[in-house]
Amino acid sequence: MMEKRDGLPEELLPAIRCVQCGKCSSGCPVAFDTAHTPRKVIRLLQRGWLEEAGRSPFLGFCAQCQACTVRCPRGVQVSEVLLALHRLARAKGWVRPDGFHRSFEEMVRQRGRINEFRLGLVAQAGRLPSHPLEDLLLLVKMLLRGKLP
Amino acid sequence: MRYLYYPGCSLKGTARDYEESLLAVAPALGVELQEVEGWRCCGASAARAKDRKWALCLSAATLARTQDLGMEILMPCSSCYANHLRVLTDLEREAGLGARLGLARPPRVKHLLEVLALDLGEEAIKERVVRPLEGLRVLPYYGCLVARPFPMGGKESLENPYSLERLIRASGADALFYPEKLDCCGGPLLFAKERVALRLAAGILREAQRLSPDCIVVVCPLCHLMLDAKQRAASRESRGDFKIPVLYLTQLLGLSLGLTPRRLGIHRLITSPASLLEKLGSVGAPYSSES
Repeated sequence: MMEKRDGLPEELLPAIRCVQCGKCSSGCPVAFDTAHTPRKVIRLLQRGWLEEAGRSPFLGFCAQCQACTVRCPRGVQVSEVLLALHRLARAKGWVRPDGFHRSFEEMVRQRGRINEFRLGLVAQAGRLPSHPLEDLLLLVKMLLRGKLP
Repeated sequence: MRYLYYPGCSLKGTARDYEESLLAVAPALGVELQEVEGWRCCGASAARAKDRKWALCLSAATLARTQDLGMEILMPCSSCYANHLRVLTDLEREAGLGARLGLARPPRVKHLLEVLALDLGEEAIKERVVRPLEGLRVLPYYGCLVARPFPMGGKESLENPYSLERLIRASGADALFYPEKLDCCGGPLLFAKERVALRLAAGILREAQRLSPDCIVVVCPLCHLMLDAKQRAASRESRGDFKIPVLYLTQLLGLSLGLTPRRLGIHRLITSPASLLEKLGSVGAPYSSES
């Protein structure tokens, strides 16, 4: 990405229009669980603290639900800015993609389509699920109902 | 009416009941579907998090492949729909992008809900209903991407769409007022932040439970996975006790069109639909989970 005004890459420039009203964060479904909110990440960008913004824990929580984008009174496409920042953070090595993202990308590159069963297994590998019994039961039920593989 | 049909990865996997019900309901409504040959994954939310150009190319590939057929593409998955629509809006904004992506005549992309509610219309569906689902209390749940960020059909409300309610009423059922209808199901976070994802699903289910619906109706495979398949885990995560059947819109419409639960893939639901089928049986229609 090209460095431009205020040292921000072009895709992040819309952040400058933000007036910090907080509407994005009040409607954000995951803000209840994170140290940062969309408003705060945008503020970091406005101050030119690119790396701090890129390392914000919020980026890993954003589900791209687009609520902030459609509610911003300044027309900042907040989801797009956050996603562009996430891409930048990955390119700069500030955050590492998790197993889910790595295997998703690999599968799309190799086969052009996703096999959800394999993707689920790979993404789940090496980490204890929060509800192992429920997950096991679900796996059996999905097999019985013909939803897998 | 004829459409190209882009199933997306989920409808060939965990959401095959969505595909079954769609393929059963479409001809009953006079809609002809032709599957896109050699369709490719749209990249979901993961490709966009890696590389914007790559994500654009993934969705553009299917559009380019079909542009000479001169048909509109129907997509049952909200994520596929939003990704493909994003390519189309980017084409308008960025001069020269169409040439780079090989998209001279990009086809129109429509969500299944849009085709049913806006192209076909509730009246046309009402005419074909043979078993009105009278007395059935149904919660409309849109999820995010069918409503945002692109207004459906260019005119539906971003914050308070009403298409789903109208279709539910066309089936004879009652569409309940459900303020959480546009909340996030947590699906994209299921692997990265499982607990958060389950809490989001649980929030939707808890508010749903207060309204004691007979079922929730959804139009996206990922919403369905979170609310139906993950319902038990969401119960555990939030110390709730949810037992709410979650149907695809096509399954609900199919029931009102007189199709059997088995043809609609209702036997594949993870959360038991027994209470729903029992209620339907008791209002005089011959439904059973066996048929």
